[in-house]
Order: sequence, then structure tokens, then C-alpha cells
Amino acid sequence: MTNGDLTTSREPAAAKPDGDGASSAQILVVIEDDPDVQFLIEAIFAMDPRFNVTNVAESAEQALDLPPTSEPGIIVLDHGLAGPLPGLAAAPMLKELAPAAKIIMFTAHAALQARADKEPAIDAFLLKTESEKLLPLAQSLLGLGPPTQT
Amino acid sequence: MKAVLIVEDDPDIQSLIATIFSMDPRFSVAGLAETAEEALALARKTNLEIIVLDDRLAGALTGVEAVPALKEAAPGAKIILFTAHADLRARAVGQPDIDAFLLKTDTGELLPLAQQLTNMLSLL
Repeated sequence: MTNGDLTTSREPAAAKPDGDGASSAQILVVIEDDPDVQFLIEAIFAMDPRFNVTNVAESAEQALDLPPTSEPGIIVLDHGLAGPLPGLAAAPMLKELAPAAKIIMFTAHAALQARADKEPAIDAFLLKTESEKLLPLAQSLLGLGPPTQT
Repeated sequence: MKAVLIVEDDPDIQSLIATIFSMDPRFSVAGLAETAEEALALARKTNLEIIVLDDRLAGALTGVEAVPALKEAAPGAKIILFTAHADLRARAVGQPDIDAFLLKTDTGELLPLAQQLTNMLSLL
């Protein structure tokens, strides 16, 4: 990342055909202020080559500076972030920026579930202690089955 | 099944590491510990093959300080020091009981490293 960049861009991976017939990788944006958690989320999605981590942001403001996209994909969104805007408040704006993307609120705070359930921009809520469900949930939200073993 | 012990004080990170190991059905997460002291107790009663060890832990002992005792409790286990602190690499290299050092920024290498340390890569 060069000085002044707002987000960390990942080099796009080559799109690979998958077992469901899709031919392009699904974009993945990770919005998370803890770099250790960022890298672990990326490592989990790296297990499925149909996902391509395109951007990582440590604040909602950084993510909202990304260019709009109509591409489907997944936004993994923490609530407590580095900037003043929390994830829950940023969700509607993120959905406007990427209307075809599914937003997973991925947080340590179980108490947020009721508020997240009432926010239509949030497609799913998952506690960080249930991270084993993260990849299957993302696959399910995009209508993908498990990756084909090669 | 290769039993894995995750020693990490952050429960979110614990869960994420466990998820990474769940991607390979030949591994089984046998325990989670947030202190070195808990890890030692688990290591004494479980036949471990991999210990993923953070340095900064919730108890009195750091991960690096606990390494000799962990190796004594689980001599067959390979210990991966998995930390955010690059400056620990020199100390880890000088500690023969640490089998591998990995920065948390290189998380994508964790599972292949564990596979390599347990001689599983040839089976893939």
C-alpha cells in the first residue's frame, strides 16, 4: 500500500471456472480494523478459489471510498471499526455502493444481532466465535455450492 | 487425525485459526487455550501433533517462555510460534523447541506449514 491509499487493494486473481459453471471470481471486500483478523478472513476465503479478495479496509469510510460496482460478491463487515462510522451504520451506504453484494456482519458482539436483523442492507449476521460458518454462509448467500475438489 | 492445540488469548482469533484447520479433515482441533498454563495442562493429557502458539497470552507466561515446558509435555508435537511480532523471529530461531515461526500477516501459510511439519503434503 502506498502512502495515502485509503484501502489495501489485492491483485485480482485469475478467474477460474468452478463446479457450478460460473467463470468469474466473486469479489470479496473485508472491512475489519484488526489486521490479524483481516488476514485470517482472507486465508479462509483463499480456500475457495471462486472468491477473490479485492479490497481490505480498516474503516467504513475507507470502504465507502471504493468505486461503485454492480458485481455480485461478499462484504465481510465488522461493527467496531477504525473510523467514526460503525459497521451497522455504514451497511446501507455500502449496499448503495455495491447493490449486488451480500453483506455479512461479522462481529464479536452478540448484542448487535437484533439491530442487524432489522437492517435490510445486512444479509447475514455471524459472530466471530462462529467463524467456521463464514465461508459456507458466503457460498450460500451467492448460491454457490462447496468448491469442486480437483 | 492430527490433533491441534491453539494457544491464543483472543477468542476471535482462536475461532478463525480453528476454522482454517477445519478446512483439512485430517486435522482435529483438540483444544483451545488462552494461557500458557492452560495449554500445558491440555498438552499433558492430549496426544498433540501441532501446537499453534501466540507469544502474548492471558496468563503470566509468554508463549516463548512456555515453549520448553510445552515441548516436554508434548514431545511429539510441532510448535508453530504464530505472532504479530516480527522482532521475535530472532529469539524463535535460537530456541530449538520452536519448530516454525510464522507472522500473523502470513496466515495463508499456516495450514500448508502444519501439513508440512506433519509430513502430510505428500498425501495431498
